Amino acid sequence: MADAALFEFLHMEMVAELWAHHSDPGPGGTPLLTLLRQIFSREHRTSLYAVLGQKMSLSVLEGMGFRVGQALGERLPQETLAFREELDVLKFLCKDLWVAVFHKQMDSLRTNHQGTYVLQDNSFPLLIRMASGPQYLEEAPKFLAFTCGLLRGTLSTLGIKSLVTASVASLPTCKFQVVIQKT
Amino acid sequence: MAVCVAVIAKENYPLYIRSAPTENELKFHYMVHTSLDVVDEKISAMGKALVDQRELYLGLLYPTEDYKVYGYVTNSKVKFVMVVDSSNTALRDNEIRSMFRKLHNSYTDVMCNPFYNPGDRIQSSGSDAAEPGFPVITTWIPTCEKRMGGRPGHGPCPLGFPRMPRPLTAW
Repeated sequence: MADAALFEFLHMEMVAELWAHHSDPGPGGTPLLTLLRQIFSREHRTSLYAVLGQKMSLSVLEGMGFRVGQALGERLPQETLAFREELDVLKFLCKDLWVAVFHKQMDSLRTNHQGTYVLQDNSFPLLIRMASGPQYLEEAPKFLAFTCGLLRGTLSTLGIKSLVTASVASLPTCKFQVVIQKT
Repeated sequence: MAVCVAVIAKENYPLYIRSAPTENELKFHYMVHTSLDVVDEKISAMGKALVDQRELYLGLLYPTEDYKVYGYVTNSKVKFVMVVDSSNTALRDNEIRSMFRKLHNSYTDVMCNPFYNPGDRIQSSGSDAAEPGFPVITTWIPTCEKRMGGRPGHGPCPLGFPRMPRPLTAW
């Protein structure tokens, strides 16, 4: 019963930990950051390595989500029969994966039938505690990186290479765009 | 009794292959390799078949004079192949299915192990204590040992680490 809260707290802490050293350019930090600090001059220090550090943190989060997605993509469809086509896989993501991780289904799935799918969640559980409306809009993307990786990982286990991005117009509604890479 | 078990990845390379140590093992490796063609054939036949027919268990792939080869494919296109001695006529279809189900569960647990990188070869501690007719495969998790078909979390860990609680299997 407490499972949902556990994951939300863990996720909040992961984001907080990865962003902890961005606001405070003090001594210490990773070797890469100290090197960057020495290379760039004082005026550029905050902006340049802050941006690089943020991108690294986003990709670390996305990578974590990817590995979890790979494992879930193996475990969740275990009892169900093999998927017939791409749309079935996306429906599985919207229903079974979302229910297993966030205890609710995805609110809408749209497609252009040419490999692009837009999944919309009107009350995304990881954002719903933050605000309702346009407040904190610039903070929202870091809370979506893990989930983007989760979607990408599950798709990759099920045999689909994809690119997943997220966008937020107003909290807590968010859209995940999945673009299937045709090889 | 199963004489050879193999787990083959999506790209058709073996992730784990283990045969009974008594015989010429290369023969089993070759048999598993040739059975991949039959597996691919069955998968593509399944793709064109009716809506209700899709199943993970592929059944008997082909019989030879001494052995029978069974196949199973997961949703992530990972294939399990099992070579069974033909002389054991008591082995029924549902027993093979239950063996494959256990193998699938073990493979899923390996996938969920955070120390395992997907695509690597699966390391397994030596096992092969025969339970009623089937070899038992133990999958080595760094601090605790899990037996397939047995009760997880029981049994001592040889390195003397304290026993870890059973990991969460679902969110």
